[in-house]
Amino acid sequence: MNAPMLMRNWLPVTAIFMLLLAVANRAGADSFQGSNDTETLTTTVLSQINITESGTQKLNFGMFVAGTALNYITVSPAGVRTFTGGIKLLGSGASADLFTVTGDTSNPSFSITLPGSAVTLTSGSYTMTVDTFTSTPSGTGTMSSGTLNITVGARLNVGANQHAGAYTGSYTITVAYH
Amino acid sequence: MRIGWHITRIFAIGSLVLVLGVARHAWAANSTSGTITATALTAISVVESGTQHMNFGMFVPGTVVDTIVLTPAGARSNPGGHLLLPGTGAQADLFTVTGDTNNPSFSITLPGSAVTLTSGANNMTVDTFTSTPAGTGTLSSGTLNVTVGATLHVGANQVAGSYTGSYTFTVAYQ
Repeated sequence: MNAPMLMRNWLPVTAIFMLLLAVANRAGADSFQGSNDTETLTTTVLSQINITESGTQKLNFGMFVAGTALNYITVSPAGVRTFTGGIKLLGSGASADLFTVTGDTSNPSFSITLPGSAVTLTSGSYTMTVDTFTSTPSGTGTMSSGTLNITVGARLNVGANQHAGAYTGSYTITVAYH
Repeated sequence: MRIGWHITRIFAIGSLVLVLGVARHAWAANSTSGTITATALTAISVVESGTQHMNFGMFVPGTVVDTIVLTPAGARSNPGGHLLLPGTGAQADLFTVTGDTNNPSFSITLPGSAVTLTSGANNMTVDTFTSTPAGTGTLSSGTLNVTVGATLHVGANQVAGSYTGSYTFTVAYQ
């Protein structure tokens, strides 16, 4: 058997080996050396990035009494609630949304995308809107030990004499490796 | 020999890029849904009972100043002991506070100074307003009754007559 024939026979074996090596690299950083001595390929396959909302801490604007004109309640990513105009804030149940991002222990940075337009909360046939979403960290996060918490606040538009009720809604938060 | 090496290398790189491409697509981004809640409350209001108003009842004045104390429970007393208190018409004021069925607490504000009752040109004063509950209340099924008593100051030989006056009772969500 001559040399070219030998290499042709090795082709499928090499390909399978490369596939296995790439899959094995998923769990962490590793290097891969190409089959040619004069050229080395190094790459890192990262663990999947995941995001989950806390089971207990959601975005909650708490209890309030509407004023006689359109006004706003803002919950900061730190959970601090402020208001404008004739709104009366009640109780202490307001909170920012809490998400946990998990990913690779090489602690890559990732982008955070919040809604760019308003979302609607409903209570029966009544509605309010939420906009101006903000997060901490904002825009970009960097994992620590493969994880990072993100808190999200936003602004609630409370209509004049907003009808009483428990309003609910949802929005989408997206994280992505750079 | 050289051709074989090159084919192997190109194929190997192609395999790796393919795997990486799939991996990046599946793992590089993730989204989830955030939950938002907000609770708008029914405004608070208060109305006085149509039938049960504050009433110190009938009394006969003495020759010295004295007081009649009316409790939020409607019990009447004359701590000085110089008055006669005939009849049974005395009663505390009754207010019904209505608000949200989330049953928030609210503050109760009574007059901090005396109010004047008049009967023609004659007058008496009422002060030391007290309520049950006092200071703050908590709605139950969106409502709560508040009763109010006070202290009537009766002058020496207070001129007979039917004396009336009014005061302001305020509730506000806390």
